[in-house]
Amino acid sequence: MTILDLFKTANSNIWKNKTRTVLTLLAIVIGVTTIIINFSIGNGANKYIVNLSNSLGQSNQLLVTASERSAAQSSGFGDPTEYAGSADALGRKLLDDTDLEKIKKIEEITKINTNPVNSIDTEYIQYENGKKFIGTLVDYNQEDKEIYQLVSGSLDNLDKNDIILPTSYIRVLDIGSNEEVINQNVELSFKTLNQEKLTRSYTIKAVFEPTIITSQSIVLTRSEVEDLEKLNNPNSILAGSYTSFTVYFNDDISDSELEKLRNKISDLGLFSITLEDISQEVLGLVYTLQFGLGAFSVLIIIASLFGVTNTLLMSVIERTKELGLMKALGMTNWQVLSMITLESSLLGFWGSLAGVIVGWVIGLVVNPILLNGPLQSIKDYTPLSFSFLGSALTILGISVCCYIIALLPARRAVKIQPTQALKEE
Amino acid sequence: MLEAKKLSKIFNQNNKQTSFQALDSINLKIQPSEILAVVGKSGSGKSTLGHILGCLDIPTSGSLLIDNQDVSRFSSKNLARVRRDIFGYIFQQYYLLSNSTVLDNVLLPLKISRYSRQSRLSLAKKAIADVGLEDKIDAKIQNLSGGQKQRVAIARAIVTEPKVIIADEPTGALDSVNAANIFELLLKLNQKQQTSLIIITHDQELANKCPRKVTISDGKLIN
Repeated sequence: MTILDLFKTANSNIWKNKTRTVLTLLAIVIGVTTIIINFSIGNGANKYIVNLSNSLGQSNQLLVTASERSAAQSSGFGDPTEYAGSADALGRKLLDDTDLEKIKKIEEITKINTNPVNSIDTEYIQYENGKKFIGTLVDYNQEDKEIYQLVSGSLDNLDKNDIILPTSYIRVLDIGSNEEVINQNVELSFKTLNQEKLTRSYTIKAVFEPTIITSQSIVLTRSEVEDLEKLNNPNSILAGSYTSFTVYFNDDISDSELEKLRNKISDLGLFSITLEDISQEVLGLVYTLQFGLGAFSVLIIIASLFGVTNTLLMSVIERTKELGLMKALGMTNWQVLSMITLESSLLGFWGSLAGVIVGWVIGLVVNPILLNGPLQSIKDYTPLSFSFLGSALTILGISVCCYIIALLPARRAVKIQPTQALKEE
Repeated sequence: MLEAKKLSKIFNQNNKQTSFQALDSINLKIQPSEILAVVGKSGSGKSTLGHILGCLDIPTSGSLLIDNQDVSRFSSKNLARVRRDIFGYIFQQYYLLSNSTVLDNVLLPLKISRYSRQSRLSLAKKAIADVGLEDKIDAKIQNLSGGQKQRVAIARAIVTEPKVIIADEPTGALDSVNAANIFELLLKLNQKQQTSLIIITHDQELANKCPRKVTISDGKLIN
């Protein structure tokens, strides 16, 4: 019997009892679909973060902090940070002027921007007498220009009364299209440390697509934020404190030189973060979530593999006479074993192929719904991004697992003697 | 070409209470193209002898020579090869794949024997024509009569042109007219293909039509 004949015979055998085969396949389909969706979510997040990192091209800056800042910490994972005399609202250690002086002495650093503690809270943003929306205030430096993905307006020659808003605010404030809003005025209400409230009017000069880096922030110029800070009590414990420094170095720095620079910062007892570090932290969180989902998928697959074994055992018992006949006609034990294991592999193949197709179709349906709904403000993002290699490896993996678990029923089939089988009625 | 020397078969040999000697020192020679009837009452051991002569089972002791080569101690792989290349089998209960067509059933031994794709179809069609079922080639087995099913079984047995055909009660499930027709067909094929034919039967009338007849009783050949 040729390999092709074995394949054809095995494939026709599994479809002899269609109902049982379909029910067995269903479990595999569900397991593989969850695996594929899981892969797709991770793949989508990975692609988005990698593309974002590439498009920003920020290879010449580091964020320096007093304590190790990590996505894991901010999400509630990781160890608590020791109190160091001063901290921001999130309990993080703060930098001070002494740290600034130390950093300035590092020769590779070409420029430093300090990021003061934001001691003034934004109450709300409002257009004319419309609805009020809360927001987080961020100051704008000219060096940050490249991180904003503009859809309208310009970041050149910004003045103290100018404001930059993400598309999400433009939509909810109901001002007009992204182009129409340029030079329109919005009101921002603030609250100082002394609980005093003040309202100021700003002119929209640019609109950007929010990304994982820029998020949904309300952006004012650095000088305006500094002015707002001065409205606070000058004796505040937060005066002269910084959440971080953004330090710049030459573009042509090598990886080893960058590592040396980071070591120098580390020797000062400070921590440095690159955009890649942040991407890796976010990806780490995505992978952690994926691991959890993946574990469920694997459990479903394991359950379905038991189903496959059961189906094959029943099939072998039902086909005792047929298998005996085939052995009487000259089929060898090896051919019988190959045929049964191939039947199992084909069950795995068809089930996982169907699972991949179902997952793909779900992606086709869900992606436009998410991108036109809750995720519409995120540009260049595919929530469920398919990996053909991942899908092919899943199909291969399931088929191999099915091959292995079929060895038990196949051994039973091999033991069938022609005379024993032909005597049975 | 086929020779049994002191063939014995004991079932459940390790358990004295249930052990049963089905064959006891059988000596038998079958020449090429010979027709032999093995007759005996039910439980006499004739089917067991047929199984061992056809390499479907192995003897407890003694030897089975095919062209002077002892195959009784062959590995399971080589025994499968002997079954595939030397023998054709016809059973009382037909043992056909009932959900498959006549053609698929007749093609089965050709697939196992690794015949080329082109020759398979022509050989199967020829065998089906030889048993007179050309018009039923695509019919499902479950839709055929008993006589037609046995013809399919014969076509399956002769399609690889085996050297020996073992027919175990080939007419046992058929009425007298169909039984006579099947026997005529077997004789005709024996003459055409020069195949040795071993017919195992309890039907004395059928056995008497064969040129040579041996009788088995309590596992022993008595003539």
